[in-house]
Parts: sequence; structure tokens; C-alpha cells
Amino acid sequence: MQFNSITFALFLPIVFILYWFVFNQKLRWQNLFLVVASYVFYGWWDWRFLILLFISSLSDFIFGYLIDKESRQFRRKTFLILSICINLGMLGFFKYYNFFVDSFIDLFSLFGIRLHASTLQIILPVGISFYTFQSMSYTISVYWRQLKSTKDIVSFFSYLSFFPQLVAGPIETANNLLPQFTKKRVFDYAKAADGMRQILWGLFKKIVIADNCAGFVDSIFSNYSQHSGSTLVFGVILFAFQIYGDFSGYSDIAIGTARLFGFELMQNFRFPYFSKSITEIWRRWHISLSNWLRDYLYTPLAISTRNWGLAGILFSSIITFTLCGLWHGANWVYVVFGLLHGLALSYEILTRKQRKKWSKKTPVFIYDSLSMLLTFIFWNITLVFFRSASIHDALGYFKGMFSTSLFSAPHPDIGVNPLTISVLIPLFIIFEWMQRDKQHAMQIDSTRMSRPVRWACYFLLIFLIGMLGNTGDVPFIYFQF
Amino acid sequence: MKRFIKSILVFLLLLPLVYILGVIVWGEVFPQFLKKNLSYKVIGGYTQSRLHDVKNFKNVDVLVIGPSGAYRGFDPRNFDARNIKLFNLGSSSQTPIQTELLVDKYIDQLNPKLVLYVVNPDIFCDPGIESMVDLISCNFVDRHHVTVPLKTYNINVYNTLIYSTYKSLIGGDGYRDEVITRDKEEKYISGGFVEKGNNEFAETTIFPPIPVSIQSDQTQAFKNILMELNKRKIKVIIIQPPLVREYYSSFKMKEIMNRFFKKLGFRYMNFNAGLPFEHKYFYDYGHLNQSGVDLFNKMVIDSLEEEEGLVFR
Repeated sequence: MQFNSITFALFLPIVFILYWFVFNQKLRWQNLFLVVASYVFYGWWDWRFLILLFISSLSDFIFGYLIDKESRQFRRKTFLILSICINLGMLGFFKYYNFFVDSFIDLFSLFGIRLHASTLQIILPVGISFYTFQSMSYTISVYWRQLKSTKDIVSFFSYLSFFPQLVAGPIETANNLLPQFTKKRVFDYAKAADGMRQILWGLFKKIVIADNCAGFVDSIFSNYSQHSGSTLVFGVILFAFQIYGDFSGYSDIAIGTARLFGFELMQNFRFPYFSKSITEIWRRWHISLSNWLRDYLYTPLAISTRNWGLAGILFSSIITFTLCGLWHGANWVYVVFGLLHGLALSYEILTRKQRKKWSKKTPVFIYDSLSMLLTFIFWNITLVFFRSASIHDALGYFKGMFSTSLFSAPHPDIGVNPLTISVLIPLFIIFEWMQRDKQHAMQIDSTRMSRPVRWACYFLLIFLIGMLGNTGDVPFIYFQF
Repeated sequence: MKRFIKSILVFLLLLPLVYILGVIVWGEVFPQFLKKNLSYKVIGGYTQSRLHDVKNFKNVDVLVIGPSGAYRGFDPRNFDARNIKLFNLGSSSQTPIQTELLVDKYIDQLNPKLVLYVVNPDIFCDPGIESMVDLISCNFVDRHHVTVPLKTYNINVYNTLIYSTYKSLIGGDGYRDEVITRDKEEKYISGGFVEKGNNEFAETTIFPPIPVSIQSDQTQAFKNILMELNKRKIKVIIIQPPLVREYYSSFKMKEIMNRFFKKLGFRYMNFNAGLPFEHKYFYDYGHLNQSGVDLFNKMVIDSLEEEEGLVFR
């Protein structure tokens, strides 16, 4: 069930009313109802996906309990490894099986060895990368004794299947979200109203910004050899806004929806395009994934390589980001995307002192603006890999981009006026800049703004969605991950 | 909680009013590029001229219905030269749902002896939004036909419906001569035809395979039209005008569609089967230029007279 669908527009109020008016007597009933609602939400795509979600939930509930109860370290470790194997095994099979088979065949063919292995027709279950990571965070936290295992199976199942963030995050750690299922929720008007605002802003970002960019991006990337260099630059910039509007829009809807049910999810995007370095962009972009990777991959890696000194930190950064790239999808383009970010981060670690000196010598406004611009340019360069179907296509895209036609006027002729999106994006940036200190761009202080003014803002946003939104059914990009 | 529910309900009550007002103001104030989902009188195809022109026609010999292949493929002057009075009710991307509306509104007035129903292999695949917006923006939709656009669940259709209704109410929907605003090479010809000149299609485009996913409401509307015409004892010929060979070949389900049209119990003429028209008879991959139209019309009229034995006057 997509957030931007009529089905969800009907599903949400029904679940909301039943949750607060029918199942509000007992916490357990409320949680059980959330599990049922979440399974309906997820099963709407394909009921078979529910089997994987159920296996992941049940196995980690059991392993969490066993790890917590067990005092012998060897056994604790064995249970943890088993839990990770089940999660990564499912993820590996459904997401990476064909990729690894194809890659091995290609690798051996380089040495003149012809292997014959068949790939499988596997449907990628929606959101599998998100909930397996969330599930693993629980058993790892229990193993590290950061968290006591829960004996409440209903709470655990509702934590893992919680529909607002099930298919595309934020990837909530058990430390933050699980305890919220064990406490009675009280309806908070201010929180719910703010949640509604965040949902509205998320829908605007998705339907007006991201989906309007999508048509241009799809057309330009699929026919990159037919376009001028400047059009290709235009295409990748639009993709930067498409993916931002799409994914952060999803996160806003997820966080806003969770607030309607009395839950607080973590902030997943903090205006990343105003970052002044690649290190900063990853603190602002898909924060929940960055935090997960930092806590469960980078830190253990850095600790295990601490004897290597600076080389250990660089090595851990590069490995973490390369795997971060691979997390996005079973394709070498994502690996290159991650690797480039790992290298950029390493460069920033190595030049930290030098850059600090430059920043002192240069006026703040100039240094900050230049840093933001360079960060955005680098981000866009790596996005060419992210969006291309193959490394070959990405290189072809670069070749087309850095040609003499780079200095001609962009001409993305797809039958839609590019002026609309060219006007919308600068206005969108200005608005986000003005609100950059807030949790989300539609966060409004109710005491400072009267109701008619607030409502006028909501009406305007809804109106803009209706007047300028893309009427096509464009799925969220991150569902495929 | 009560306060929250009350606020939501009041907001939802006010929303339609504010939205309608917004569409009207926005439609009046902003340029077209900021009216992405409001297409008032901007779609090509001269529908406005045609719906203005149709008022002068009644009791025609031949009525042509269907998508752009209709109004760009049948020149009333060619038919007139053979003493056949023709009116063309085609419009851009017209799907059976819109054709049904048009037939319902004009069949009594035009009272044709023969209907040429122009089809193409993907006629049942398009949900018909573009054509619906086109008809609405030309103030075609009256209160008797308003339920059909409402069933589209499309915001572009709704916005255009709101704005064109407002325009009708204030009397600002007067006919504008589209000839001035459109392609300089195009000319509207009385009888519903759009003349394009004699430019030749010279591109060697590779067309990706065009999938066909049939929509049941479109096939139902198509069958309704045929039943209605049958009931009125109006002769119907289903006709596929020529397309550029490579373009026609790219339709995945062309043979299935051919069998479907043949099985309907009406005469079916496919001008893409057998010897195809050469590129020089087209101005783009889907439409004939004037030489092509003249040749095509001659073949159709000859066939009507010889094979059908139709004598109109």
C-alpha cells in the first residue's frame, strides 16, 4: 500500500479511529491491532511477503530471549550469529543471489573460464533491507547488553512490523522504538497536529517535487546518448531533487503518521543539501541508516583495527560506505557510489586540519557557500552512478556530460514544460532554507501563528499538490531497496 | 482527541470550497506553465472549432468518430466531391468513453447513414484523460454528462471541470479562433477535418515495442457504442487508418486486436495489413499528410461504393 494512494487515504483514518476508540482500553490489544493493521498494510503488496516478515520477527524474538538468558559467552555469540545469518541469509537470497551469481560468472569469464549457473526469478520483497536491519539491531543490542530482551511477543512483533516505517524506514533501533510499545500511549493534540503537517509536507515533496522531476530524469537517463551535456547536467540535478523529495517525503509521512498513533520516530533527513561536507551530508541524509552503520559496522570495525592508527579509520570508513552502497541494491553502480563516498570521507579525514586553516582565512559566507556547492556537485557526480543502470551507462553519461554541448542550453524535450519544475525547485530550496533549524519544514509554532494563517498554509499546500502534482502513479524509489 | 477530530472535520468541510475558489483564481491569474493540472483550451486537435462547427451540420451521410486518425484522416472535401456529406467528430486521443459521450450528444442531430469508427491497436489502453480534459475544456460536458468525468478520479479532469464550469457561468467561454493560436501549418476545415500540408515523414525512428493493456471500461464503452448504432440501424465500419510501417509493427498485440475487431460482426478495414503506405504519405509516424489523406480517402470511398454498394445521394 503506497502512502500516496487512495487506499492508504482510507486505511489511515480507519486504523486511527479503531486504534484510539476501540482498542484503547488495553495496551496489549492496541499493540495487537497495530500488528494486524501493519500486516494488512504490508500484505497489500503481496501476502507472501508476510512470511518473511513473520520469520524475521519470530526468530529474533526467540534469539533475543536466548541471548539475554544465556550467561556463557560462546553460546551468546552462537545465538547472535544464528540470528544474523537468518536475517542476512534472507536478505542475501532475495536481494543479492542473482547479483552474486552473475558477478562470479563475469569474474571467471575474465580468466577464460565459462561457468554455467542459472539465476532465479526472485521477487524482491518490499522493504526487506529496512526491517532486517531493524531486526538485527535488536539482537545485537541485547547481545551487547544495551537492552533487555522483551518477553512481550506482541510488542516485539508490532515494533518490527510498525506500518509507518516498515517498508522504507526510518530504520529504528530497538533502544528507541521498542520501549514505546511497552508504555501506554496518550493522545497529544499538538503532536498529532504536527504529525498531520509533516504528512502534508511529505506528500508535497513526493507528489510535486519528486514526481515532477521523475519524468525528466527517466527520459534523460534512459536516452542519455541523445541529449546534450547541459541537458545531462539538468537531468542529474533533477534526480538529486527527485530522490531527496521522494525519500525524505516518505520519511516525513512515516514520522507524521507515527505521531498520530503516539509514537516518536527519529528524524531521518535534516536538510542534507545544505551540508558543507560529505561527512555532514551523511549526518543529514538517511540518518537512521548512517547511525545503524556507524553503531553496528563502522565502530566495531574501527575498534578491531585500532592498532592500525589512521589507516584503520580510513579502512573502516571505506568498507562501511562501500557496504552502504551495496545495501541500496544488487548492482555494481551502488558499490561504486558507496566507494566514492568512502573515499571522499577519507579525504575529508586526511585534510581536516588543512580545511580548518582555509576556513579561518576565508570569509564565512564565501567558505560556507563554496563548501555547500562543492558538496552538492560531488553528491551529483556520485548520483550519476546511483541512477544509471550499469557502470557502462554511467561512464557514457559522464562522457556525454563533459562534452562541448555542456555549454549549450538544456533541452529536455519530453513534452512537459521544464519551466514548472525550474520554478518550483528554487522556491522549494528557499522554503527549506528558511525552516532549516526545524525538525521538518512545516513545523509551525502554533502560538506565533494564528489558526487562519496556519490553515491558509495547509490549503495552499493541498492546492499546490492538486494543481502542480504529478497525477501518475509513481512508486517511492526506496521501496526497491 | 475531540478537538482534533473537530478540527479535521471543519478543515475537510472547508477544503472543497477553498479548493474550488483556488482553481478559479489560479486559472485566471497564473500562466499555463504553472497550471500543470488545469488544461483549459490548450490541447491541440481543434475540438473547440469542431464542436462549434457541428452546430451547422445535420443529417449527414457519414459520421467519423475516434482518435486523431479520424479528424486528420478523413477530409470532408474529398467526400463532398463524391457527393457524400461527412462530419468528423474525432478528437485527440479520443477513447471509447469519450466517443460514447459524443455519440450520445450528437447522434440525433447528425443522424448519419454510416459511421466510420476509427480505431488503432491501443485504443482500449488509454484511460482517456487527455481526451476528457480536451472535451471538458471546450465546455462539452453539460449536467447530463458530468458523471463520466467524475468517474475518472483524475485531478486534471476535476480542475478543468471546475474552471470550465466557472467560465461557462460567467459567459467567458466564447469560441476563440484556434487557427491563430495553433501550428501555422495546420488549418481547420469545416466538417471537422484538420489539414496539415504535405511535409513528408523522413525519420528513421526505432520504435520500442508498445505493450497493450486493455481496460475493461473502454471495451465496454466500445461495445455500448456499437450496440447503440446497431439499435438505430446505422451501418458501422470499423477502420484502422494507415500508420508508418515501423510504428504499426511495434504494437505487440496488433494481431489479437485485429481478430477482436473482425469478430465484432461489423465490416473491418485495416489499412496497415497488406501493402503499407509509403513514408512520403505521412507527416509523422501516426498521421497522413494531405497527399496521403487524398489517396486514403479515395480508397475508402471506392470501397464504400464498390464493395458496400453505398449510394448516398
